Amino acid sequence: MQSSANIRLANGIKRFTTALFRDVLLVAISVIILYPLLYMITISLRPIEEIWDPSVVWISKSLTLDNMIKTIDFMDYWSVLWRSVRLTVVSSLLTVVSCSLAGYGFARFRFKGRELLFMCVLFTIMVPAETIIIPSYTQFWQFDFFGLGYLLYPFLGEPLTANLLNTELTLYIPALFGSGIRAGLFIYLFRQYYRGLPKELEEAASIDGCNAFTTYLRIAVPSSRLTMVTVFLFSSIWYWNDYYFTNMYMNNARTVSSTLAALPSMLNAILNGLSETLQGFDQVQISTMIQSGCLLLIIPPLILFAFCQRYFVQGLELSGLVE
Amino acid sequence: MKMKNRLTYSRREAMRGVLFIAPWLIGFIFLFVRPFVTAIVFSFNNVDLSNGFIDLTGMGFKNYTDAFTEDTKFMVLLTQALSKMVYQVPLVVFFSLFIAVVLNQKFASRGFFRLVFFLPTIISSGVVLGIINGDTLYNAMQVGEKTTYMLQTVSVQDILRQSGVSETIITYVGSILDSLLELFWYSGIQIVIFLSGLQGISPTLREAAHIDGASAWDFFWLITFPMISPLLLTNTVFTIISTFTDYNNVVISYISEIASKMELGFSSAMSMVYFLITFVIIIVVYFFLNRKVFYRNT
Repeated sequence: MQSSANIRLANGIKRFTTALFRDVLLVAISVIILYPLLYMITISLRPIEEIWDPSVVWISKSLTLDNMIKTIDFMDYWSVLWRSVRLTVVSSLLTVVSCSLAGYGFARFRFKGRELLFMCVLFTIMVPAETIIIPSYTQFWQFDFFGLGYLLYPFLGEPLTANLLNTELTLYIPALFGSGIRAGLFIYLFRQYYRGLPKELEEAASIDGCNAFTTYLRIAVPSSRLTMVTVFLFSSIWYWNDYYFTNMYMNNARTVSSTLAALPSMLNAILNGLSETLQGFDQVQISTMIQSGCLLLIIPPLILFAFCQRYFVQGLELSGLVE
Repeated sequence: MKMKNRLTYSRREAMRGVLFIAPWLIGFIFLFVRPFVTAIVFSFNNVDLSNGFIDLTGMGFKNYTDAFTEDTKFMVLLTQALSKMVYQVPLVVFFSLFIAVVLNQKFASRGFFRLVFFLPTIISSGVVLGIINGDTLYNAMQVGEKTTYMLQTVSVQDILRQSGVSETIITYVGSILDSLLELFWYSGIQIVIFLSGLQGISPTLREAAHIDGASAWDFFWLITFPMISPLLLTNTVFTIISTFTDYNNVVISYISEIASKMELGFSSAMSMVYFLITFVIIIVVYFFLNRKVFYRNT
């Protein structure tokens, strides 16, 4: 009896120390990760006068929305936000549709060159966007509708082209054709998922008279909704954070990301007297506005993430990444 | 009708498959292959867009040789990026595996921590991280000259300095600690991927191993590790790709800088060199790891 009690005690101590070690470690890392976020929140909500108040560490004596409101005005936040949301949601939805179709095609049908084409999918992930951005830019500048513009060559004497720069089509067209941001990764995820899906349901559907496409719509799509949520979430985070493509293709259309990327230099231009629009700015004011701007950028994806969080670990689990 | 009968089952299947991938295939040919080939052509030319059309002047391999001989920064940045990759990729992969194993245990607050560990993905793929680190107030509020995050490596370095450790070792330790702090920002997705793998390991296996007398340590190395080794491969390749294609990557930003000066032929040549090196590394790593990976089906 005595010895079994001892063993139980020893096990208890061991379990307790492991748990303690784990919690300390997790809390420590979480603090590092959360620090910038907490810092943004505390600086954004703090009145300017209290920024250097040594008695204020995290929670200021009074809270103010002044910094946020100033930043919202300065960034023209609401119109910029609307454009960002539109670009992100439309592009991500198109990405989900095109990548899911391609993933299903690669997973379910045997055809010549399938493996080679799938290697091409992986290849597209490896090429940095910067490598092909200039040709892509000139292509959208003189867009020939995937070569179709040349069909009109005999009639017009020149190929039919259109300048798509500064239109949102420059993001939507790649997304629709499975070449959006990190689309290769999503095609991979979808293929893995559909490969793991039992074929019986689809066979039953086709016996019941469904053709390949209606089988896909009625069986494959509903069953992959968790993977779709996951892909939508990842894709929208990347589209939301993107400022490279929008800066390149849509120079005068600001998104939240590109505005924020330009914010420090815009504010510093004011500070250095290069711009006269706002007077009485100092470094501290600028910093509070930058922090507010960062907060304004990450709040929307955080909200989206909180909504989808439930689905998405599950979604990856089902995506057959785990084989 | 006759025509339809002549199509064999496999031909019809192939046609359907091609129809499903058609949107991607069109995008691949026109939005990837065509720009990619154009970029290769650019890299052998001097490119001038100033007249409203693309004006090419043949340069042969001059852009390529210039990248290695004339340009003073390219090689330096390239070696810097490569050496950073050599230690960062294994660190990120093992760190995320470790965190995933910890987060896979059953405890009350694990949902909260999972959220926290995904947060870096939202922050670090955008401009926020760069902006905060460049902000003067943020830096001024941190104590000391080296400013990363709250857990300052400076304080560690101070302790070392006071205990009389030589300056070179201190700098070395400091740079290791700094890169450790950086890990958290690049591990979000890898943690999620590992976590999904760990959740696929059935609890009955653990029970069986426990009954057979395996310790948690044995279980990890003999069961868990082999079972998630395919994900180890996925994550390693993913980490290499994302460190190489990251906007914050020194080579990428240098190439963008050159491109913004409208030296498009030269920047294309550099990005081709960079891409080829990346590609070779990924292929080598893939085939090396793929031999060691354990696949459940085989």
